[in-house]
Amino acid sequence: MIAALPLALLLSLAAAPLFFLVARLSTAGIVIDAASLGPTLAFAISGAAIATILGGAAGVLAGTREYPFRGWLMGLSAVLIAAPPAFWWIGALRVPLPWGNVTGPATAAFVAGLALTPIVLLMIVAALGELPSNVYEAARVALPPATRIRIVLLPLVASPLAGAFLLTMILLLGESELPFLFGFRTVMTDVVTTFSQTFDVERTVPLIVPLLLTILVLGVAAGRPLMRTVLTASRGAHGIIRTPATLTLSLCAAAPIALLLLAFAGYAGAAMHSLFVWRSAASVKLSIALVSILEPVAVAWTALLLALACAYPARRSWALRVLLWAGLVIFCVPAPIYAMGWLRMGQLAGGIAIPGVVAHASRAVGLAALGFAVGYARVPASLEDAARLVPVSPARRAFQFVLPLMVPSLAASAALIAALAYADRDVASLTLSPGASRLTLDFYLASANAPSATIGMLAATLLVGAAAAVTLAAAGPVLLWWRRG
Amino acid sequence: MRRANVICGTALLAAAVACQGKPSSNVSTTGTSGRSVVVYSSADKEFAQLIFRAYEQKTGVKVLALYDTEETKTAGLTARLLAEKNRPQADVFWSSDTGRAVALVDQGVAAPYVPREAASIPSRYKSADGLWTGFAARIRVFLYNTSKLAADDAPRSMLDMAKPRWKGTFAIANPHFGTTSFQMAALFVKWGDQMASGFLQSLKSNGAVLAAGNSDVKDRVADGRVAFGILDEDDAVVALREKKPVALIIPDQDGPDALGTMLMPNAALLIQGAPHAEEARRFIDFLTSAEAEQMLAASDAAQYPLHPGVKGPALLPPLDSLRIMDVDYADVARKLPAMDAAVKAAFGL
Repeated sequence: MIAALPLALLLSLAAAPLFFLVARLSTAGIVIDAASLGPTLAFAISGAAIATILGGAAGVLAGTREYPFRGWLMGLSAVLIAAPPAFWWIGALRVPLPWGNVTGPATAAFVAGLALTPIVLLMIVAALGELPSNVYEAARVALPPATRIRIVLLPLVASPLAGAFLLTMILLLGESELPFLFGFRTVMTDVVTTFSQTFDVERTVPLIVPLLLTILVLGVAAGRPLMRTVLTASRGAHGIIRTPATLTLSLCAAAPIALLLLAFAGYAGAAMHSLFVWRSAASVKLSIALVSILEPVAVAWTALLLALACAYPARRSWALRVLLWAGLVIFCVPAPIYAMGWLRMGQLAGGIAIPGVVAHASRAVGLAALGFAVGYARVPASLEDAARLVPVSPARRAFQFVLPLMVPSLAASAALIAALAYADRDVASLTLSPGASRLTLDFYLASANAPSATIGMLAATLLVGAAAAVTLAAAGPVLLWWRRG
Repeated sequence: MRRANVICGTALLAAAVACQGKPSSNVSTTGTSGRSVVVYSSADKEFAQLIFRAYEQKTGVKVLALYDTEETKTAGLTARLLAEKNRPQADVFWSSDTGRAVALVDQGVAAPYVPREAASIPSRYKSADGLWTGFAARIRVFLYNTSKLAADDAPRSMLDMAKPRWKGTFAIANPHFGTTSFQMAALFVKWGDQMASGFLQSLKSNGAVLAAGNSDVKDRVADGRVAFGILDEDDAVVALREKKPVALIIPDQDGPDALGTMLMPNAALLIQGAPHAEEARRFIDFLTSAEAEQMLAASDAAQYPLHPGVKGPALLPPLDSLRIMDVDYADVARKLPAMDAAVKAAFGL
């Protein structure tokens, strides 16, 4: 119980701005408005289903087959997470194809699902990398491919698939830009609309309450079995041995990045659109690009280090499951809410300024703790027991023997956290000091009225920056622990 | 060991750079004069920077700007102004949206100040008590694709959008936001709730294509995905400048009873309790001056000066030749929630 105290304290600190905001809200006279909940759920469920199917298939391919540029293609697809789905859709629209006036939640769910595919892919690849190879090798000998996938592989990846579905669904519940773009209503569009008309946070509460209740119900319903499967998954393995893929399968594995390539072509076309190219290149400031890349890396590493320091002592505590569930709920709350809470707390404390990193890290520690739990569940118990015989301090033992075995999970968590922080612009506008900026904010501001060449140039920079941020964040755990000991 | 050094180095660099964005209650970055003014701006960054640079060159006072745009969904800057209400960081709010500026005034964010040249700005474009002052306005225009429509066939009135002839061929930006919401709320003031709600219903039943924002309307017209759309004049000018196959028409100008087009000034607000109040007043003096309006009119922003005698944008007809919709901006701002409910009912948004 005491071992779980640091993690409990960390999560409480992370959730402090939420408690603060809730405490300040007047509950008198609130009439719950759930009119938009139906379309919101339909959009989130269908988007998450598409992401799970496409990402699951791509993940299985990437985890079981070997094909040219496999690592590069996976890395590229992770870039999709580092910008909002609407960014990719708007970029794709710039490619001169017969797009027409596409509207409606079905197309929006498809675009959202496609953009979030890499989350599922990364989780599946990480899971397959930690499965016992002997089980699958035996199945390879005994069963035809379709049967093998159905009765061996799918059950083995059921828990990461369920986790990925839940994660993408939660992300889509908070999405407002795509519904605006495709002309339909969700809870978040109602919240944004109400706030922009009234500037009154309390008037958005009746809209937010049903969404929060839904998230809590989802967390309760899915969290428990998810935690059970995550924390008791098979231990000790070198992953599935990958076999060469056919050309068709190789092309299928590259499918998730179609949206990325299309958007890149659209923005690059805009950047090369006119003779403004060199002028527009000047619109990208190196200092802003550097900060925009390194800030998410700092967020990812901070969240990961804090989560590791606090969750590691609790790794065998019964309280860990409860705390992980709390971490999941903390992650469900959009980062701008944390920024708003920290901002108000800082104001009350005499005008103390809170950097955006804190708001992002508040939300991300829950995800980092989950990443730790997923990785630790796959560390062979026998190895940890054997490591105890080595006469070193517990911290050194963790650093040298246990954590190196969790590199795929830790790297994937860091990449995901960095991508989500990089894609943000709301926290930036709430916490940046006057005179400072970020690439996403600059792109967003430019897209209001700048020449196409400037927009294209900023978008291209944004893409390169996204790749750099994700790669750097994931490189932290990899460089630190890869093949250590 | 080398790996650990790489990690530590990158971590230190990341932490140092991340702290670059750390806000401070006592802004220390100053201009050559050692003075600074903090401006929150929802105006387009590209255009706002023109004014900021000119002011810095003229006075030596550093303008520390923070940008946002209310026109396309995020309300971060507004939320920040409200959160900072008791301990403001900003000195001035430059709002590109008159309606939202008036709504912010109603929240007690602004302090009264009558700028030096405000006397020559028509009274309808400023508050009597100096809580906001309008300057450099935009108008609403139709932009049409010249390969799809001949000039003589193009629509001339907002009401044309409800006619069967144009079914499914035009785009409007999401009426919940920005200048489109302001224009629709103005119709509620002019026509009354019932007629304006009916107009919204007819837009829906006539297949209006809802775009994410005015620049999206511009792109859809320029690409030929729709024949025409209604948007702000500065967005239209971007398409004209990029030599897209488009032309613009100013709506509701014909006939003695014509409604007129909507004119939307920028608004300058002095923040209540501004840390650099004196610098803020001087900056507002400049921002609302004829000199600044002239710069905005001559730039790609192509905004109409409100001071008499200042030359207007080159690509557009003079302001005094236009029929402007006659509405009280405070009334329009207060109609926003009613209009919002009608948009929900009509479009299901």
